[in-house]
Amino acid sequence: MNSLRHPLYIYAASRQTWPVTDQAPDLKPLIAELWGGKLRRLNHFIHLALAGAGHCARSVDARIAPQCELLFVSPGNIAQVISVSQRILRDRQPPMPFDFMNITNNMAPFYVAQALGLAGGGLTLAHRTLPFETALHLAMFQASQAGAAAQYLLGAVEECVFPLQHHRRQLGLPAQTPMAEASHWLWTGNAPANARARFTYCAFADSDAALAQCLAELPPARNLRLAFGFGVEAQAQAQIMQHFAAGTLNDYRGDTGYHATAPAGVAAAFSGGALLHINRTPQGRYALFVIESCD
Amino acid sequence: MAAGSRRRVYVRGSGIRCALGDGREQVSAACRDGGRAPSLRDSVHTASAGAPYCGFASTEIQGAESSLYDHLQFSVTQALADAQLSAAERSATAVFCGSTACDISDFERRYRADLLVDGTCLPQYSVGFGVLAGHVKDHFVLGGEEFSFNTACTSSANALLVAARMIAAGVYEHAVVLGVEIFNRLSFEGFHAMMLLSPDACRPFDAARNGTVLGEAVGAVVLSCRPGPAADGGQPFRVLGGANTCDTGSITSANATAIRRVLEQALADAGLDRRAVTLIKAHGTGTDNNDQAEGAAMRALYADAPLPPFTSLKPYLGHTLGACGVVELITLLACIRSGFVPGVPTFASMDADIMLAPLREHLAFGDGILMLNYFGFGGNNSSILLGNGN
Repeated sequence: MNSLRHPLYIYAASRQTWPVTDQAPDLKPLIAELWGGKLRRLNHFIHLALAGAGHCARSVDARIAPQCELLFVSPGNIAQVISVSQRILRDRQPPMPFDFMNITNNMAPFYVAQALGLAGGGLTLAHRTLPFETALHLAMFQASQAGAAAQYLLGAVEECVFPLQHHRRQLGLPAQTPMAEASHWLWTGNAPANARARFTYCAFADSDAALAQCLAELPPARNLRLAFGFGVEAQAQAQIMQHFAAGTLNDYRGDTGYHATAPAGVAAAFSGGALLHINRTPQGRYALFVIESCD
Repeated sequence: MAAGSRRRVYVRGSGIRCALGDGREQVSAACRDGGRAPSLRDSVHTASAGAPYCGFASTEIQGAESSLYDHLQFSVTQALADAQLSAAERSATAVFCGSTACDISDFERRYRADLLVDGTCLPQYSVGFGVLAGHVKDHFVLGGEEFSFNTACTSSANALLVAARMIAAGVYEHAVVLGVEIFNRLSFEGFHAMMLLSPDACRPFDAARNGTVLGEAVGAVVLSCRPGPAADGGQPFRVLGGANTCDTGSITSANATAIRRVLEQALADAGLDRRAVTLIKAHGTGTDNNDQAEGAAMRALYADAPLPPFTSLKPYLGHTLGACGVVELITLLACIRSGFVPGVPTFASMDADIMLAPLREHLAFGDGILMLNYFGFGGNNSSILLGNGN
């Protein structure tokens, strides 16, 4: 078990999902609206990042501090990698230089940092099943080591590969699983002033017993609701719900298409009370976080 | 990593497979002998004969369709054995992986085979870029979390930095830090398309430099809050500090001011004066822009103090992209354990714009403070300070 309890305050957040069926959404109009016409020669993955980050930055009057660090997470820009690989391996054509440059996974946060005028550090992360929980863990750790002015912009972005049925097979998902592309962003930091909510707990547990230990040590919270990630199956969910006899369920999974970064969207859309989110990997490892209102 | 107030973080063990050989002994011996000549790889560019590439040294591997997971397991097995981590210690060990291409080499291998059967087939891919760290965690039954860093050529340098910080703060006792980059068409053709590859050799800081040479390598370092058995009797190296910054001026061009800033922040993080540094391992790619910006940054940092000797390991290893953070650290420490720092064998003439010369010959070296610098696409710059002795 590994838990962090450093409070990480949330100043602004944005949850953006695009349910998809046969093609990716055209985000160019949205990017032009948010950022003007100055951003060109970008790929869809970068558009997704800019769309979500733009919404997050616009949702508050305050400006994100230039020294804010950017922690960006995704399963990887897989669709772009495949597109360029097909050109090379199937079509025997060299990649276009901009296609290759943009394929580097940290180009999306580069453009976000540039658009927002950020000059702090930047890390691009990936995780096979718990991308947001891992980024949150790292953000809470970094914040615990930093001063009062430290800020972290957390971005979780996910794109789909088409045809979607092929993508579902690659991810091991049932054939009819609704799918979504997503861009969730949270502006966070160590200072409580002007915060609307805060993360108070983040933990990983490698067994049911360790999960029980985590649940026992949770910080007290009023009006605690529960939410479960896509990795938690019905039986495990029922067992956990038993632990919280009075807990109410925020079952967001039916409202959004599958995306591994969905927990970031839950945190970004949080409003009022307290929420415990639990997710699970196919290997049986749990990830938990608690978010509370600052009211 | 505020000096003095945290636990010490030791480089406790390592394993490596690269163009110089398998394991530290082969790597340091090959460096002492001047390295190996890269081989020519063809390209889909019809107008090009291809470019040199530093492929794995082992003749058993060359030309074989081996999976990157074989190389990963080889290096991690070696590193864990070198560190002599007990089963209990492994349960408190996290995994930090840095890579640019991740498992794209395996993806390409499968896709190429499928295309031979059906030219319209769809590629079979994995669930994403976190699979390598996940594989190591599962295969070696390591109990900590898994982190995958994907910041271009600073990927595994950042993995080292974050792992060291978490160990110093007591979050983890130990960490396996990976640097992984295997030959893949995507990277090779992409660098070729950007005209960043040299047609003959990597010549860092040289007036006649004409591009970089890519290479493949898998390195694994065990960082720990406790020193290892130190079988060779030497003083163990520790991670003293470091920094990572982002420069949003250009997605591909390094900037001297931004590089100087990360070097200063790394020194401040380690609580060191620049005069304490006894050797700089430059990023030194052999590209026009990188070497000029890096040279200008070093000149500015040491404008009124003697510049320590500096070298680049890319003439030996090739540019291993996201793996270079870990792979160059292992190579440098292996050579130092053998009593020397490799010079740059391809350096011949001073560049009038850089006005700095790296080590040309091997330098006898024992204890000291090392600054290891790494810069990547997307403006990601990192610097790490290591030291041994007192």
